[in-house]
Amino acid sequence: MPTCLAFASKLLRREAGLDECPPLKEPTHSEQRRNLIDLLIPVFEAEQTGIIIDAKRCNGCGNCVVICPPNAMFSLNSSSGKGSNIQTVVLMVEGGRVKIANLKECYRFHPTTGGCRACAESCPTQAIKFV
Amino acid sequence: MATTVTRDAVCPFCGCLCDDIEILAQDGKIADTRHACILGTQRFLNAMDQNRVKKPLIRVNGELKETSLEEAVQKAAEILVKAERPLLFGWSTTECGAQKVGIALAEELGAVIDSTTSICHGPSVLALQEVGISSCTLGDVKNRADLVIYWGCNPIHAHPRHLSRYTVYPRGFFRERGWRDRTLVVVDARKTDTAKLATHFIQVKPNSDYELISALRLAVNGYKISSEKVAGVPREEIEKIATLMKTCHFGAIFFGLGLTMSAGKHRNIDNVLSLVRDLNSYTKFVIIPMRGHYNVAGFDEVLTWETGYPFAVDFSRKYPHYNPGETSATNVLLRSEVDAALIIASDPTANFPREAAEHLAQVPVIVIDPFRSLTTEVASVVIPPAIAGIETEGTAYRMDHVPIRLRKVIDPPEGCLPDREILRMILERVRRLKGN
Repeated sequence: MPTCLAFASKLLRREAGLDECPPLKEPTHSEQRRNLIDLLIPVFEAEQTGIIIDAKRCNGCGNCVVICPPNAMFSLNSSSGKGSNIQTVVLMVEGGRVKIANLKECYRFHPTTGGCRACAESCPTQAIKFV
Repeated sequence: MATTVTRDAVCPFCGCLCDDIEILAQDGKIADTRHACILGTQRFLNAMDQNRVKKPLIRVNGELKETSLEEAVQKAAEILVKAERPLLFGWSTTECGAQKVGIALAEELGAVIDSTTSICHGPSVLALQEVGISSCTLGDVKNRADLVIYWGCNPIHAHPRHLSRYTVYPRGFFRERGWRDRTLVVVDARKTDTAKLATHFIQVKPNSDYELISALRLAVNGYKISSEKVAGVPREEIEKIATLMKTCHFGAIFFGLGLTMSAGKHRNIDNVLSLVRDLNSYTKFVIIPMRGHYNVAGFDEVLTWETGYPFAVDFSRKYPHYNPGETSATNVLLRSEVDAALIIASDPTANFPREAAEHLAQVPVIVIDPFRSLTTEVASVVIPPAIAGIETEGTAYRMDHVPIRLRKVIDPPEGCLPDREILRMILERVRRLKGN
């Protein structure tokens, strides 16, 4: 029997759903279930790595593009502050806003660098968040 | 639909002049951009905005009516030749070729010629003429700087790519780890979005920058600061920043209108330039003003090599006369001297002091601008040009005075000529009317 904390972690990783918690199905916990659904909306908006980009807040400064370690690894241009000339980078500015170009190269997929939050930490407008 | 991609286009918006932009055009219209910030993207996408003026306009019975380019140029030349004290203002968002012809026109007319420098970094220019400046290119900052200070400016909103292209985040030749090898200090009256990224944020009391710079100079030169706080900043913090400045390998200060247009004006810049001079006794330190319009630095360059002065030049004595405060655009307007004006690539009616704008509305105004603005609303003649850097080539100077060639991305609307061609036509017509 998993603990509640373990179940919450699985919920955030989208490895479990609310229906897998039997007490939440009881009518006495209907309000808690509603609150949880509201709380979990951003989780379902997030990409696999947990990244959420709020395009409305982004001003395309490109700090995240340049700071991103895989971007720097794949593109010398990106590493030195210029726009990347290849499409395999993780983040790219298009139409004045940052977009995910190639998520599978994100450091957060790797066990040793899974805690990378460089893009969010360099974002001055809080357009990038992690759940 | 035919899609074309133009690589390495130059963004004609702010003083960063980012030259790595990709423009996607479909059927001769700009559809999207890559690598440009939100400001640059809008600049490109708005090229065919509904506010775009596509035909020359002339005011008849109080209303602007479409006319031919020939007639608009003739009317403009007549207005300028008739005037005794014409003003030629704007110039910061056009390319150097147009600026050069504009200066020739001002000389021919005996006019006052001034750019937006006089209402933004004019105090910086005055101060650097007195003190001198220790400066470098943005490439030097990228490759060498380990201490970056933004003073009285908020590049995240005004020059969005400044930190990521040139200062804090890029990996440089001697700063291989990028932001990890650099310290960012922000000095401002309020906690801006740039300040949120800073290692050290110094919140200075509004209009007290001069005191803070003086205290820093004391600390840098080894004197004791007697007050507990200066300009709202504790003494220990000032001493800490002074030590940081003296011990860095390469420091760069970028300053904006928070310093040039707050109390003290050019004296603030005089003091901060002197601080940089003092710091060069200990380490390498440079300072660069954060120029706003993409080619405002270009006009300073062109006017300086043509006349010896960077802005506010009066040709009424048949030789260039420079005395900001007397010969700057706002001053000649406030004294109601101007009896005709040619405004190019600027909107002074929206930005000048009310009395100056009111006087401008009372005299015949010729506007050369691709878009409708408050100034076109009071204009007698409006001539729409091709947009430099989007629809025509040219040269512009980045904020660090590096010249960059602007690229043409799409064709202009039919009949829209580059600024330099329109000005050349007016100059020729003026010479003909004057019998030269």
